[in-house]
Amino acid sequence: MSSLVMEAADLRLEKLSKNFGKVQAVREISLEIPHGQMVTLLGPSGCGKTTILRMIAGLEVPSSGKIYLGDDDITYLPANERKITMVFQSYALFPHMNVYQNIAYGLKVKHLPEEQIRQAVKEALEMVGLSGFEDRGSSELSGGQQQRVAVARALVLKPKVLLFDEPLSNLDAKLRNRMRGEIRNLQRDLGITSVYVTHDQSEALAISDKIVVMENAVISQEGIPTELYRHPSNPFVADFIGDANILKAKVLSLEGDDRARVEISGNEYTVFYSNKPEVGSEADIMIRPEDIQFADDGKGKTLKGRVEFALYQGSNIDYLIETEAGELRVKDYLTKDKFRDRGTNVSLVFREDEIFLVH
Amino acid sequence: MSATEIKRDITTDIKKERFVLIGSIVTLLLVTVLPFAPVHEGARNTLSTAAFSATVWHLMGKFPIIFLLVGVLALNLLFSVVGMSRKLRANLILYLNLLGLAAILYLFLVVTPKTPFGVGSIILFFAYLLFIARSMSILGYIRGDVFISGSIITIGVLLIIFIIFPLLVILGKSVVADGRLVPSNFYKVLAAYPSTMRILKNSLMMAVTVGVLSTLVGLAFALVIERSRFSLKRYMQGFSLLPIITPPFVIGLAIIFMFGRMGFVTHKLLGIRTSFIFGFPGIVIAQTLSFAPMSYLILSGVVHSLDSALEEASYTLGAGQWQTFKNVIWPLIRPGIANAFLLSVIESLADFGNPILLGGDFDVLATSIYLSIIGRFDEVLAASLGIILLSITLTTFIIQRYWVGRKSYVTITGKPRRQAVLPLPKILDYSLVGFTSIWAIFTLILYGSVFLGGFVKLWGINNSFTLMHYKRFLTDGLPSYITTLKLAAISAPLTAAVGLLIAYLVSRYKFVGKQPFEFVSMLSFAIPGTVVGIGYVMAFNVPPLVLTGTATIIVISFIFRNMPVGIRSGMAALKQIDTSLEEASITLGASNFTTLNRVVLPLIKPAIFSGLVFSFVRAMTAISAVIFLVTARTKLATTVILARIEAGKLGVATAYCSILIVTMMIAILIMYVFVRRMGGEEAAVQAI
Repeated sequence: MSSLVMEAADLRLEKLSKNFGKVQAVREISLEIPHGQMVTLLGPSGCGKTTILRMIAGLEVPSSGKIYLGDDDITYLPANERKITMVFQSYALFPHMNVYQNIAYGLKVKHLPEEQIRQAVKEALEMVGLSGFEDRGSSELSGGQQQRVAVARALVLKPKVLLFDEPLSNLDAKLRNRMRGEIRNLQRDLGITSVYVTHDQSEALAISDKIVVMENAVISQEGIPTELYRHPSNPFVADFIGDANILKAKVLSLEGDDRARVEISGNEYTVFYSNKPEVGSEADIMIRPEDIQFADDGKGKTLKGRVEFALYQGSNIDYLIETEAGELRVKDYLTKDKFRDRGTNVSLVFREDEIFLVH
Repeated sequence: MSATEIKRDITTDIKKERFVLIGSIVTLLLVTVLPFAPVHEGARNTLSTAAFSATVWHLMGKFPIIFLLVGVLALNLLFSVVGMSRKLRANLILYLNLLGLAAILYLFLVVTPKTPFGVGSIILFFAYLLFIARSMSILGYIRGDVFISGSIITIGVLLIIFIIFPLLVILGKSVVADGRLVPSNFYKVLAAYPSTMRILKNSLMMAVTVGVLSTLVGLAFALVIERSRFSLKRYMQGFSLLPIITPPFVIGLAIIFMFGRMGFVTHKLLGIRTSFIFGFPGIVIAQTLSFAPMSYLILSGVVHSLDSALEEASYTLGAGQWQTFKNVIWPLIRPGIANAFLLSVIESLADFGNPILLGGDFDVLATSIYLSIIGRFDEVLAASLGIILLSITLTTFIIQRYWVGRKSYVTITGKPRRQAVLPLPKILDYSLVGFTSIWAIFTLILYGSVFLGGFVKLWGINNSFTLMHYKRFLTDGLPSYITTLKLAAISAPLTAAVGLLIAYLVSRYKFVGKQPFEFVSMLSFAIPGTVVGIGYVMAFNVPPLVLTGTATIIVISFIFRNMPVGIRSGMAALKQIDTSLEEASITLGASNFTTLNRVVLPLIKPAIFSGLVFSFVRAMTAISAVIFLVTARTKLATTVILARIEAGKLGVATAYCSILIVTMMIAILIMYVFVRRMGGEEAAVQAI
């Protein structure tokens, strides 16, 4: 295992842009990926995240900007000379090679001695828990096993940066969860600098040191997972990461450096903000569905509403509730034994410290 | 840029320049050492060492430009080694080699226009081109890969030389008189020739009739083989495809044996002596037999990929069989039918073998071009007729490719779905089975007659058994047989390689001029062989490139004429391969070349073999282009057969044809076994 610990390096993107014809897929992105960290590029399809990954890999040439690996400018270095490997969405295991040959491929094209290749492949297979699978054809493996082979194949070359392109999107939900954990543990144990592309926000939250949310070719917000989830700086991020209710609020006054007094449907709340709002203006506030609770006793700052639909989920009940402030999604974990059917009149209260002004 | 950065830039570059260094040194050696070979003045041919010497050594004394040419190479070495920034290095190499290209073209086109290019000059020419490719890869074009940019530039230049240039020469022949551009010359020549209108009418009538008939026959076979309940239908496929591996004249000869003046049907059974078969009817029968297999292949793909679920959906929505056919099936197969029709029209117009054998007085464009060169020695007339023929086939090709082809491409090449197929309505099924059975038996009888024809003394007159035709073949035909085998064996792998490389470049890379690159490479399908033939004769008989009379020009014509098959099967195969496989290989440290070699090629084995088979078969059976290119030293099987037929020696001709068919079957069998061993049964079936 020890010999597989990587020499990792910082990756730095400087005003990186990529145009495909008239379409600008990536616009002046600057980004630092610190040593040994797992940074996730998150966004809807077409936001440019995959293009960035492919430019880092060397599979696309940037229209402008620079890519640095440590101190080296690798912007125009051919992909096969970069020491950056990638795990593909489709796994991209060579169908005409068995597991051993797949993992050994990168070492073979480097013309390493056979004995050294055998040793390295053996270690890589141990690392992903697939010892003894050497002679299997790639079509004889389950989705999860193929995924592990793809990871082993990328790791065996001891890359300076490891790239993941939506590696788990072809797996079923349960396996996906397990693989998230395995990938994250491997990445941490080896301390390998990684860039991970996904459109799945829960995946991003689960495995990242840092998340970069992208929208329309630019970075919308970057930060650690808890920060992005609790304090999104705009409605797009709020809505994209986790479920969010976005409501209109009136800004009454500012309190301290990071709080404002706002009014929502007749109730007043003190909420956090990241971008300072103007007093007297209309602003968007965000509250997560799990931070809204039923107030059957009618106490507190309640909001009256009527159940539009109720979906029993086992661990909780999902509600859509029509209120005077608009439609609100509610995840009820606390009183899930009590099913409020369509048409029921209810009172809701917000957990005040979880309301965030996203403006 | 700091000092350390520059240093790093240089070291990585020098590592990569290894091949540039080796390449330049080898080229330098070749160019400077070869001239010391014995000098023969007055060399005529580009490929002889004498010509090489004449062009480089001889000129060395006369023209300082030679020193410039060699100097450019030497400077390339210098620029590759000396430290400088990426951009500067790329630009220096680019302009230096553009200068070299300009100098070499200036030398041969302006200074010594009467001296042909020699081997040395060709090496130099391509060396400059590859250095230009190198400079582009330094700048990061096409992911900075010199193999890809080099391939694109080299193939691009070859396409211009061997496809575009001959066409321009033909055009020039008909519109340039006395060194001046006279477009009206074209009309004048054609107007002066009395048969122009008749030939044009004949050709169009023939092409449309054959197009309709072979499409219908192909559709019937496709429906039966894909959709019939008839259990013996699988065997039918073999018979229906037989004409594909048949040399020209075989069907023509068979038709003469059956329906000619001494024909089995006409003379023996009906007791009449008639030559009605010579002319329109004979050509139409022979061409329909020849081209129906191609439309069958197109239409079986279309019928095969029809999703039965669509029909079932239509039935569950209350539509009957006829309504389903009219509203669901017909619209889906319509583009395929148009495709088959247009391609048959092109093939029919381009066909030379059947009209020359069965045409009689019924002249068509392809034969008239040949006769105006061979009989009238009228190059201008031949060129003008060639332009008419070319513009018709080209228009048809463009319609096929950009209007119809686009709609049906996916359905033709898409991976076949394995699912329950709905059988045809009973009445349709039985009548189609009846028709295709008769057709298959008819084909079988025709081929049988050719085999028999080789063993009887004189068909229809003296039907006693003899081996004399085969004995005759051993003395008369063997040399040409060996030449043909040799040239086909050389050209098949080259053709497949170039075709697949083009398919790879076009389907995997974006580059400037890709559209014309792809169009021109597929164009040779639409250029009739006779037009290529006269084009090559006119273009490569005079400097700067003198190639006529060599076997090389025959191989080149094979490569550029048969390439489209390799391109098509290559593109279809590459479509099935996820590009992330190649990207994975590259991120794992393999170069594009290694990737092509280790990942792409093993996965497109079926396409490689179908490319090989088709190139081999088409080289063995080519007649229309090569008839202009053969010489006494490079006689080919087909031209010898034609000569025997023209001399009335049908027995020897049929014996020779039989031997060719058996040869090709053996060759295909060898390749089939080869594929089975390498890529599994399915791949082999697909390839054949």
